[in-house]
Amino acid sequence: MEPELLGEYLPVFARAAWLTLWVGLTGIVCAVVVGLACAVVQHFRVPFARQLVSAYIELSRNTPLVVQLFFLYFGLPKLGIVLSSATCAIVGLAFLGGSYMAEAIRSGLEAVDDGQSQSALALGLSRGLTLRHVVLPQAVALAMPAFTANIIFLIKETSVVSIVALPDLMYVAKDLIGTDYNTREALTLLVAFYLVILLPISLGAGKLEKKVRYAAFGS
Amino acid sequence: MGALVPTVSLKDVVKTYSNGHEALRGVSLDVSRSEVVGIVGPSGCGKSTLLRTVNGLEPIQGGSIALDGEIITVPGTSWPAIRAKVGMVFQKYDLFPHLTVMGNLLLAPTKVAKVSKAEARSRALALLERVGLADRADDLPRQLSGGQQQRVAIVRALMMEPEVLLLDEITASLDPEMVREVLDVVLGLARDGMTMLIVTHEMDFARAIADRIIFMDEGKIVEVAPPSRFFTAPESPRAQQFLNTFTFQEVHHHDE
Ligand SMILES: Nc1ncnc2c1ncn2[C@@H]1O[C@H](COP(=O)(O)OP(=O)(O)OP(=O)(O)O)[C@@H](O)[C@H]1O
Ligand SMILES: [Mg+2]
Repeated sequence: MEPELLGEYLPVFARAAWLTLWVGLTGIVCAVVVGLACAVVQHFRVPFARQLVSAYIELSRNTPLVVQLFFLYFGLPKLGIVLSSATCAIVGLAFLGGSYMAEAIRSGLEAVDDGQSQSALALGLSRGLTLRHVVLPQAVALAMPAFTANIIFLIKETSVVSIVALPDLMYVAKDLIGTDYNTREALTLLVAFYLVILLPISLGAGKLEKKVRYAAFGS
Repeated sequence: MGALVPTVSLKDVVKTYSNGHEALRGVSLDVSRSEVVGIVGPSGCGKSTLLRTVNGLEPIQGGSIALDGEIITVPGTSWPAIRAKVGMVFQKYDLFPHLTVMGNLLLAPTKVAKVSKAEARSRALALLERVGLADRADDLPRQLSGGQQQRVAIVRALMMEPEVLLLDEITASLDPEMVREVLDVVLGLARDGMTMLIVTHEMDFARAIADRIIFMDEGKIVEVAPPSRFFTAPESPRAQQFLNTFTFQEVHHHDE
């Protein structure tokens, strides 16, 4: 291993790590929005939309992210829709993550004691107000463990977005191995950067989980 | 009751649950303003179901229900508006665990009745004062005892200034030493003229507070009587049997 090489590659990897993080987090935020919408549709058993959501969830869960990305990057242009690499990566993560987040939120909604919505409705709150002010805050707290597991899962999944030519960590590592044959240095930096991204998220998530749970239930 | 319109009026109310179970089989009942009606009967006879039909938590399949003479069991009824006028307190208090006592009290007035926060706050403090919890406004529900939580739940229902209160076994989850503090609050409300439908297993309390006792069995009202008569000389064999189970329990306790 040559330390100077590590130094030389560092800026390239740092830029790639930033891109990975940015695409990953944007994808996750979109996934949460998609998941929330789907979970609410399922929770209220909205006719028609509910079937649509079920179909989406099955499709999303039963196809690999690589296949979804292939479709977005190589398939859509055939239909006249051309998306940039980054957009493909974000849409792909949102498509995949949406169903996982939906599942997490839905199980959270189901875990909230029925008496909570009953007493909110009895006070005159509409179903929407009941959801927003009473059920959802508790559901999110209950869903936190699944939520943070999904976040880490999705960040890891970003490692496949290099197939749509996005210069993320994986892409840069493959590139350097292919051109310079400095496999050891490239792999060391690849692992190091993924750890740098994921460890704080893992640790922070654990803390956040406890905090949110405590705020909602005191235990 | 006189010529006044009853505050709550049920006519031949039928409730059939989706599994086909007939929980209410033609129940008729008029409750006049400031009247306190005690509803008693064996477990599963339909007491909770009856209360829940009055604020539309259970839709009915037959008959009709009117509030202040206006039939509410018709299509197009705005249930949130009805429920704002009909307060309900449940057995398990069901305070919102993520909100403080004050947060619990402000939610409905500010979001539904659109009362200003300042006005709602001062009403909340006055009511908390009345139930002896003025100093607990900023606590979370879990910091309170069961009896304190139930008093907050009563105040939460009162915040909407309801015309009727529905109380469903509000002391059934409480440790015995906390029952009294909650029942005292309800007695105070009765003295102030609050119209109430009270489901309870506390026979002494029912006797003390109710103007009228309704005895239910198998989805029907079997006997209606003033408490003095119901508890000393019930007419129906079912009611006699039901009250006997209580005397037996009491005798049993003395033996221990
Ligand atoms: N959601 C439901 N679906 C089907 N059946 C129900 C439902 N809720 C209640 N029941 C049934 O309806 C009947 C009346 O129930 P209800 O809860 O009104 O009785 P209750 O008099 O309040 O009893 P308890 O004293 O035990 O609270 C019971 O036989 C009960 O099993
Ligand atoms: Mg009941």
